[in-house]
Amino acid sequence: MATTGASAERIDGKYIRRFDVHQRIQHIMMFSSFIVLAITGLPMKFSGWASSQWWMDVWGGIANLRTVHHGAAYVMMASFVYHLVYLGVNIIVLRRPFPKDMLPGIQDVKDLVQDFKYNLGFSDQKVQFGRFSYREKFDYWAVGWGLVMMVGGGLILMHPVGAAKILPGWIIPLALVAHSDEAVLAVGWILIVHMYFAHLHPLIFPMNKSIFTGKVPMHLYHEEHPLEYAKIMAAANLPLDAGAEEKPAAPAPAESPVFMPARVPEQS
Amino acid sequence: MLKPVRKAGLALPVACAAIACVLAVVGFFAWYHTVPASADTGTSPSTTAVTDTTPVTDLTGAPVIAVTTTTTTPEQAPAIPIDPSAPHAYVDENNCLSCHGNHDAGGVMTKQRPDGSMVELYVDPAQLRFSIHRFTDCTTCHGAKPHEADSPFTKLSQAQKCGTCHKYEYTQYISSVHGRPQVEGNSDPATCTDCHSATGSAHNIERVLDPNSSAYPKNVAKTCGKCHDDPKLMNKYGIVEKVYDSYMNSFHGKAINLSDDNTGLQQLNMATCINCHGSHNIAAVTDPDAPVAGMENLAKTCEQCHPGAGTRFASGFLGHKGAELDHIPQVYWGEKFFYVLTRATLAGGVLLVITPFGRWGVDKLRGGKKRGKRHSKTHDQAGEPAPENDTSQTPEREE
Repeated sequence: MATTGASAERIDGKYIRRFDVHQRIQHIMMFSSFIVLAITGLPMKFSGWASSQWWMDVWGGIANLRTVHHGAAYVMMASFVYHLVYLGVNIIVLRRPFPKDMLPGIQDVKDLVQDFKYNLGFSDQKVQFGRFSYREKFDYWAVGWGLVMMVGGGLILMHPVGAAKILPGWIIPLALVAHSDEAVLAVGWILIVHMYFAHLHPLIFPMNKSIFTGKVPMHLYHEEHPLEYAKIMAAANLPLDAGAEEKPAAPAPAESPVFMPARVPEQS
Repeated sequence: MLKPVRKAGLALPVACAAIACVLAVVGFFAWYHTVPASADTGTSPSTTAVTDTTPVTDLTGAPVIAVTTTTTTPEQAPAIPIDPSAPHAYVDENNCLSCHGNHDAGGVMTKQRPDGSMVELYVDPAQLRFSIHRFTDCTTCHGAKPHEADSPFTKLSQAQKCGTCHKYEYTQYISSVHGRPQVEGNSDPATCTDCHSATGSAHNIERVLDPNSSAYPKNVAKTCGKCHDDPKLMNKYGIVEKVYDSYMNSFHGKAINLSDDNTGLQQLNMATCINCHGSHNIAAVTDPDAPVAGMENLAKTCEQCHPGAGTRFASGFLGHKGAELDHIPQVYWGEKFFYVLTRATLAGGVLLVITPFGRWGVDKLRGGKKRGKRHSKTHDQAGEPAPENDTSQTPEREE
């Protein structure tokens, strides 16, 4: 079942398919290992904090915690390899089109500027995104850069003697700087930006489940990716508001879909 | 009205399986680690620091607690006042503590040092109970006629007194950078009790492997820091680095700081000050024979714990200095780069979040007309950006 391209196959009831099963598994591997790595790694960086010392004692000392950190790192590396293999098989073996939607371009800079203009009130023209917004592209490539830093630096820190055999000695303290600063950057970005756009945004709250189900509700797709939504609807010969067809059944959906669940009892 | 997801497809079982896999891998590593942990503790790098020469087992392997002393035999000794119910008792064969352990007599029991300062002759029995020398009688150190002895001890004479039993340690100490100045009359450097006693008193020296000991791995850095973190004292000798802070922020310092108190044996694998600089035989870093002087010596020191390290590994060690332009500049520039990158990116992220949230809030405050209008765009034609209200250029604009 297609999850890319302008195809009527992507429509599943009131949903539009967006992620295939491999992407969903990769995300699950990524976020579960990320959480373990963060809660085991940060106390090592902030070792002077009393909370860090308490947390270390919970795990039975830094030796145990470091072992868990290494174990979760292997899971994250596996998800990285999985993604590269997945891309290679899709493009080379299955001859699927190269996912050029994910490549950054000048349009992303224009979108960024327009988004800020709209959000700051200098324009009433909301940005219209295609399959991937500039935010999603940045997230994707930032994870790529971050993985190279974190995995590269982490492997050097895991095997400092072996690293010094093939690389100059200063690579070890440099790896520590990169690994530790990049970790704070990654955790900060996830907590601030990713949590907002995946959970806390008023249109999304409490959670956008599409990364687990693979499917996005039509009205949300229209809101977030209107350009691609229009292509899909055109391919399926459906009107643009097909996703909103059942909306009159819900109480005043156009006002604020956010609070819809809370209004269900009123209706009954 | 959102409908519940009708069928999650493969995602739910796959999600459960993936999380189970992560937990299994993590759990395996955690379990795998705990098995050899106890075996690894035999490779303690700090065995030279153990000063306790009391045999703990006899030939049959049964534990022995030696209560004999060097000055008296059991036949000569009066009844030893040991309370059998007390876990930590001590020997006081000549009842010295009847006067010296009486705190009410503290005011009169003082003696003047040659330099004019006073020394208290009170000995706290509570501290004595935890001394490694609690079964050694007072007269062993203070002489058979202590009231006629030349006292009190200086740093040098105290080291000499310890050396009557701990001969090897004394030989090392007296030729070390801490010991040599004592012979020359400089009493600034540390003597035995400065490192081995938490209070500086010889009466409560604890065994090195006792977690409360000031010479226990976790406490070594603090003990050295008593002098080496004192800027006034260190400036006098031209030692400028912040050795304590830099150690505690290093791999070695963090490892020992974060190791579990309940599994103290883990700490024996972790490097403290003495593992690189030496303990009784400690040498100045300016001494060409010091274990940290020059890359060749430093590499050998690293290899005690990092087999096959070599000079290239050692050359990346920042030591107690931060990375500077003249000291591993690659790390200096790396720190600058990541400092800017981290803060700039996170600041951008904050902007990326507060601006749409702010717009949503402003729209909300302006009431239903505006809000309804914005959401009605969901039903616009073709999803193309249809320019509307082009005259609106300011956020204060009211509709």
